[in-house]
Amino acid sequence: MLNSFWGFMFFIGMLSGVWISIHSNSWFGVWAGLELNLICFIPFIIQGDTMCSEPSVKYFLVQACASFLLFFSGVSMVNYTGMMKSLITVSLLVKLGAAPFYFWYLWVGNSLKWIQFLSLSTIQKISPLVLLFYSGLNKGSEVMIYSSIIVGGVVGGIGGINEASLRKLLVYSSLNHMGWMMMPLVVENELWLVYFFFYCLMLMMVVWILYLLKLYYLNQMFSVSISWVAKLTLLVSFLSLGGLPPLLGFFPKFMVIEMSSGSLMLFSLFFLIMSSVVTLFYYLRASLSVLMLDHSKIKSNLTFSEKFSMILIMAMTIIGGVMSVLFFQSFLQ
Amino acid sequence: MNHSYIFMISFMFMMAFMVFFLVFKHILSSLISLEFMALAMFSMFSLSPMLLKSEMYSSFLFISIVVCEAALGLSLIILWVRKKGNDLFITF
Repeated sequence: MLNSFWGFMFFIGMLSGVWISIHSNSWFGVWAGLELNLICFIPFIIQGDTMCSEPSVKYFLVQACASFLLFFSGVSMVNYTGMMKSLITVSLLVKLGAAPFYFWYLWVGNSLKWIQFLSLSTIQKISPLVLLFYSGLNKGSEVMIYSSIIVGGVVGGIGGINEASLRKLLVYSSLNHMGWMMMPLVVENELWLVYFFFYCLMLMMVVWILYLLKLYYLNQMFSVSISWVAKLTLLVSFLSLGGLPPLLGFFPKFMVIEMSSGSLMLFSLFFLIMSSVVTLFYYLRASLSVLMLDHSKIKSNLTFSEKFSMILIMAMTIIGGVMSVLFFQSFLQ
Repeated sequence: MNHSYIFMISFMFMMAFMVFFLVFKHILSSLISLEFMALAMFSMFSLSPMLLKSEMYSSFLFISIVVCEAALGLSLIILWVRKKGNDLFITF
């Protein structure tokens, strides 16, 4: 995307759309930014597979409908009832791909290449999450977000068990992580941004390795023979996504647990913790097949820069977690 | 021009939203219902400043962005038809 001039322009437009919708103080600016983001992201999806427009049509229809709904319910807040507040939350959840509106995310995410999947999961989630936080509509009517948290956690855990496609696995894991991210967001703690940043980092590490090895399905993982450093990095990245201490992925979850353990949110926290164990199961299943088996027919040679990125990923995963607690302790109070 | 027109236009938007979900055959039908939603919102933007006696420029900005989005939707349908031969959601 960043190779050509117009590709670069579309990328800048995508980020500008996010920026505009975050920094505007009326629903009009929010909607304009979301539309700019959508319009500039669609060529990005098409670029991966030029003849197939199916994921882009599905993505476009869902996101356009949700942004119209957002604009309409934002503008007609003249009648400030509970239904309008939850309608805004519903449209933002549709744009995120959070539960219970995740079906488009499954279909679209399964048809994308890894780079487009990564930007769908990280960049496109920034503005709806920020809007959910700053709209402040979740004070009186938290039912919608709490149901999204619990259903997202449970579905993200259980739904990924029967999946053979790695992209669908990561979609279910992102459902689970959305549940974790929305826990601090409901009580208007900025910890959700810390969690989001760590999630983007961990997802980028996992997707980067899978992109280098061009793995899209679980049965492709059996037939790749790589050096033991790369295998270990894949295992460690998946484990950190699952939230295993002392790796990077544990510490945002630990901070969310510590934030919410003294409060009335213990019910949803229980579901989230239980579903994290289930997600860890399917991460382990995906990564152990690479680690244990050695198929000597197909060898994959990685260049020096790719090996360097493996070492960087390992260092960030193992050391970064402990460092992060020191930096982000102020959010725990 | 009185205030009950806003309720009518909100009803129009809600009906357009419902029709968007009831489409199951042609993709062009869902694009048309998106434009119907945009039309309802455009009339709301044109009407409510008239009732409040304030300026009306926001409808112009709104319609220009909606036109860009509609053009994008149409070009996506063209890509779909080039690959599959028709614009149906399900072909067998």
